[in-house]
Amino acid sequence: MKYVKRSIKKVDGYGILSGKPAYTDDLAPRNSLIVKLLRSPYAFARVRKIDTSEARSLEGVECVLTHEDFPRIPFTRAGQGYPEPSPYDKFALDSYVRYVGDEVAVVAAKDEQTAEKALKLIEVDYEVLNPVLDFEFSEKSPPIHPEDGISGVENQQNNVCSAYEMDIGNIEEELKKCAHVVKHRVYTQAQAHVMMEPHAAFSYIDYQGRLVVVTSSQVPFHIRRILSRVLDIPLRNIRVVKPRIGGGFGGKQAVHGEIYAAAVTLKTGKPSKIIYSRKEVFESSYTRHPMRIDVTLGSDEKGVLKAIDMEILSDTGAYGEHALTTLMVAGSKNLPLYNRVNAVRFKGKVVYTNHTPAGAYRGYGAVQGNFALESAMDILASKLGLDPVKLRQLNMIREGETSPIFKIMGEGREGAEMTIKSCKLEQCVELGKRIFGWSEKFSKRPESGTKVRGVGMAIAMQGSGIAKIDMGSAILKLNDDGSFNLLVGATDLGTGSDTILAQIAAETLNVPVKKVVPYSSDTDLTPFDTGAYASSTTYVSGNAVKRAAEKMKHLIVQHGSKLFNCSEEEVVFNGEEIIGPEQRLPLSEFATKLYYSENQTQLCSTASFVGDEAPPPYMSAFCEIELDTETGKITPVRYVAVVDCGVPINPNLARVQVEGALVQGIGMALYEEVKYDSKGRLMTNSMMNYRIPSRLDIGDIEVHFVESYEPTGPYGAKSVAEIGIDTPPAAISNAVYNAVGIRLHDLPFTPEKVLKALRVKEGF
Amino acid sequence: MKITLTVNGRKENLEVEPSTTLLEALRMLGLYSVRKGCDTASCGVCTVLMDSKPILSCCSLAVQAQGHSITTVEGLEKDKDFEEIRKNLLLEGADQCGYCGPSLLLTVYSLKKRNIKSLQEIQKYLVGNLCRCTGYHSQLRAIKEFMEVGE
Amino acid sequence: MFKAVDYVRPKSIGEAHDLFVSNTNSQILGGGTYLYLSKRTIQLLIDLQETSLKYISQKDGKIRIGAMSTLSDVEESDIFKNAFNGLVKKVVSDIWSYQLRNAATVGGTVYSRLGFSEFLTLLAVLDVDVVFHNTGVISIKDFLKMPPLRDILKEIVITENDLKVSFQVFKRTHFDFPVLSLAVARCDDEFRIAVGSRPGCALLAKDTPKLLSEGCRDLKTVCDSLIREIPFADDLRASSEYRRHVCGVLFKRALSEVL
Repeated sequence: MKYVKRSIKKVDGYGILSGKPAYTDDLAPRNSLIVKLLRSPYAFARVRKIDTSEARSLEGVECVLTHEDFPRIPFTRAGQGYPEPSPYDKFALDSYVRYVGDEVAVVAAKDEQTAEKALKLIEVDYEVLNPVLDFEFSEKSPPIHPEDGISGVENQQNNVCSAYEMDIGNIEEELKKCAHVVKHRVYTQAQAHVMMEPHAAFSYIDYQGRLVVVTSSQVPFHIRRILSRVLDIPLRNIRVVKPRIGGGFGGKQAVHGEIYAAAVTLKTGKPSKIIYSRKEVFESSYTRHPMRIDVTLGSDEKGVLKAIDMEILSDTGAYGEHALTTLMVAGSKNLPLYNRVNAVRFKGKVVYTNHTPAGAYRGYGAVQGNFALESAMDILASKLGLDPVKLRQLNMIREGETSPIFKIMGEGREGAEMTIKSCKLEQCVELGKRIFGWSEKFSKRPESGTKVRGVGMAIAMQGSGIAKIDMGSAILKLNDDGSFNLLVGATDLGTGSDTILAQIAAETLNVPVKKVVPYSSDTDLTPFDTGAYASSTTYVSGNAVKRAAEKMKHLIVQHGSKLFNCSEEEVVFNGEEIIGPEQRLPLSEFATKLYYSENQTQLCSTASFVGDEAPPPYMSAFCEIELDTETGKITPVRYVAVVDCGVPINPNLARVQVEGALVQGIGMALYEEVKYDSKGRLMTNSMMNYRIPSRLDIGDIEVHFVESYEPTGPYGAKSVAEIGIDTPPAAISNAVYNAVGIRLHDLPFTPEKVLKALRVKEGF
Repeated sequence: MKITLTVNGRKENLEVEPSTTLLEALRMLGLYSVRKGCDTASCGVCTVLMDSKPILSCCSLAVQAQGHSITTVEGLEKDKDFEEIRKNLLLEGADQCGYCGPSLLLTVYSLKKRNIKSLQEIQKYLVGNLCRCTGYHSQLRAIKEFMEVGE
Repeated sequence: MFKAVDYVRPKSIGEAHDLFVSNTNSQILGGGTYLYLSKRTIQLLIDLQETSLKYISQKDGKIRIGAMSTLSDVEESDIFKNAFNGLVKKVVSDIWSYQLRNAATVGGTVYSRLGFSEFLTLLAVLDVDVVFHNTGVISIKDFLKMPPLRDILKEIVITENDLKVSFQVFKRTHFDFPVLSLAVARCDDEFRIAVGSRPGCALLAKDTPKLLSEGCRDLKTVCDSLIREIPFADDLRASSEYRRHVCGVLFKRALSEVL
């Protein structure tokens, strides 16, 4: 392999680091109207009356829109495959507001100051309603969505957005037979993505009268479809362009401000832009789904797992974006880790509350489920007196095996059967254990004193796209100098996927990467792609690129044979030259001829890919923490992660994906606390008060790879984007237990909570 | 009010309000490397150099910056040290989404000029440069080489 | 972000002071690193950067810090490399971020009595005078108790002495405001104890230093005394109850350094 498995520089890195205009706000026309949203100050209210006359008459205000200006079309902000598994429970603007920060009205003005001023001039008469702020009581509370016309909600009266249930074998019977049964309950928080670039979009009408929307989005094709629905204009009249994105992590897998900028542009005919403030990003985009998870594990005397039961209550906030799917992923991306059990039961409900909506976030349920399952595994290990590593080794999935769950549980529907063709989890655990020095560290007796060290571990799996749903496609176009344009719908959100896809094309064509010029995510110019989510790009879009490149190779040979007047079998294309029985031509000359003089034809190949399965990457994680028993503060010391992501196409970029995800996971485990006040206002709504880990808060992190070869992946690759985030909550919680004997079950593990648990243990 | 800023060695005249931030002013001048991250001095993304020292342009006023020399990455295009740290970051794949990239480069660049050699000190100076993509370690590998420090 | 109607850069403190007192809706601008959180409309912003208040000097056992010196100036000054065994430098260099310290001023920190400021907690236990243009010299002890003054802070003066000082701080992440900061200074039998980030501004303890001076060395007694006399409150970073606990822990640690 010449161009894959190479850590080449990102194709866009140089320009971006040099400050070239690249992000949405850099590209917006200078004369754009500034769009601002009036947002609800109440967690739950009905708009009785809204008077915009004063705001409208303010000089410089171009338009003010309220719910009366939008057609009443229900939709979901979630950017998912169609038809979406999320309910259509939202309107562009509604007379009900369901969380603090929900949209009430849209203002567009010549500048920011005027827009802000206009917001203050809008008079709203609210009928304030009693909000539902505790998700464990939501089912018994009055409905948050009593309205007519919405669809896909499990039970509007009981606030149940979605529900799911499945079982294999007889869980009750199986548990009765078990020598050891462990029950564990955990709570996870509404983690915020905190991508560095806030949500941003601008729109304008082009010279053909079409709506162009430029947006910092992970899902441009879904945005186009949703805009067409919500704004009630034909899809063909919308073009969505994604420039460079300043991070997403799932937070941009939805339509956010695009609707409002586009509505203003349609109304005024003028370019308009909307840039979310950081407060809006926190309060009014969406978060990770907070969950309560109950796990029951049953094993025999020796620690062979026989039964796993998982029950979840998930809080989707005011709207059901990604509600059902994150719930299902909590099970489907964890339960198959221990695939040889006799019985599995998974059931869960997702309920509405009057909190900021929850949606897609890296890990997507899997991290919540992993925390529950992998903590419970350690509880079982300690009950059995077994090394937690041994317990995993005894039970975990291996190459060549399968799990019935792959077929039963997909995302929002049935999944796809899969026999695991690549799984080096055993080697990941073995290598991690050795590098970390697990045996020695684990067997060390607990220290006394106020600073106590402990070690913990966990394993994880994820997926590579969503089988039979996620689709990627690519177009390769030969240019007259022998270079190629690679047009992909795949959405690079900073991960380096443009680079990786160019590497895959280069490898297949056997041309230098610089001869492949990637261009991604422009609904007018690039072919369809479901978008960058569910760890899909390398596997799904990568496969599409590989296919397109193979087709291109064939086209070159085909046209070479025409030029050389011989049969195709007699022509070889080696990346540099087209070689016939008597002639050889450099690719550039061939292309020049082809476009200017002989058999004039544009060579262009298109290919698509949908996975029949979603091969999981795997990892083992070993961590060491130091706990201050006087303050309860946990300090990460070292984290060793060993990952099987198949063949890493670009090892550097794969490593950075894992390192970055681990740090987000550490943030979730230790620092990122979400607090609401009694009225349902998000208090941790700024980066000042929602602290993500700095470089001094994470300890040493070492990422290693155990390479497997995934036969269905492009050059053996699987995904790597999400898996890194899954283990920190469980591994750190296990380390805390091994250090001081307390079992933490409520994320994040703030010093205050740890101290409380320590005092309970000491019998205070 | 009319002000004159010295940015990347050039005098720039512009019309601002007294409360226009330096961030807004620099973007008005087309310096798009200066980006807004948080509104609360909490992320470091808007870092620029003022008289060779990194400051936050989101909580500095344009009017305050008069008489000082402002540097953004646009002004370092041809600078040897800058080229090197940029290259190191690219070689490690530590650029990722890149939104915070220029601010990190500027801060590291300023530390190089101060000849700070202790890794611990460097890390401490960089604590205000938050990054959500990389997990920092790839940056550290790139920076270590650039600053010529060992463990 | 606040709005300002007008902006001036007076050339002298006198001029600045006249503008400040004659215009009731005026605001002194230090680094501006905290002011931006305000949503007020300010008639006149008075920027002190040309009033020659950016200096750190050492003479006759006194260190003078001009109000417009930045926190970085303090951190990087050779004077503080040695003074108080480098403690001032160390404490200041842990504040928020390098970028912020390059702009935030000593005057802004002290005048505004920022609750979360580690620096103020330390200053509170040193021999520090706060010097105002009109009011003159006020000891830090008195200053911390006074209502806001409509006057311009010129400089702070730290008297070098052989106080034995311990500074303790507890933060949840390195880049954060403290949950609590605490400083203890001892000179023979005299003790001073300040607690900051309660979350309110640094406060000097009264009873506990007396207990210590009287020779009480029972850790539980003195810790209980301190957490009884210092008021704590809840905020997003911690509950008052937790702060009280941490105060005891930090106090114990500080005492082990000074006793």
